[in-house]
Amino acid sequence: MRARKEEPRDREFEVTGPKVVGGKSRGERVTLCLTDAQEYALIQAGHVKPAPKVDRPPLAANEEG
Amino acid sequence: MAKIVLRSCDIVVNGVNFSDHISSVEINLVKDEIETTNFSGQGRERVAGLKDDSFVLNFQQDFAAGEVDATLFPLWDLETEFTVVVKPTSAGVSASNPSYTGTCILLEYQPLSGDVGSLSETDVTFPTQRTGITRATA
Repeated sequence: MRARKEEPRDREFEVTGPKVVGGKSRGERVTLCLTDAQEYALIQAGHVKPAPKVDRPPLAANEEG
Repeated sequence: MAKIVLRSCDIVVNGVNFSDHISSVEINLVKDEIETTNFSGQGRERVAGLKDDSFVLNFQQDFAAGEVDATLFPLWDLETEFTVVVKPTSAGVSASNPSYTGTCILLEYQPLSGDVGSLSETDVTFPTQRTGITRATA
């Protein structure tokens, strides 16, 4: 049976390399629609790293007080 | 529409813009020729077969992190598919600046090729998979 092809999905990165990636420059965040292998190739090449999670409470928590 | 001099082609490989390291570009739209010649005429007859589109890009080689070799080698090594997008200029996609997009695979890559004293360049062919190259104007 033929293996199912992986569908690309949106992933968020921080641009770390010298090149413009998805229209964004070094230090900026970019969302790209990629497969696991495409993501791995981009990270291996030094273009991006996974974007750090933003650690802040949801806005709804402030409204409750 | 005015004639165009190529100055600022926009070329993106796996999401990364390489316009500043590419000196020539070809977009090859090809369909196999299937011969259907028969006894009803004096000459050959043919129909179009499968698409076999490709991009051919001439890269100015750069071995620094995040540059040409660091990008192309993993694409060749991992045998992964990726997109290539080419536009005549860096302006937005429009009827006068169409984008050509293909899902490609890298099967041949020469990291080094050249003579003493010459700029290190490498011609890379990106054959497309399945749907070939699509053209968009918006």
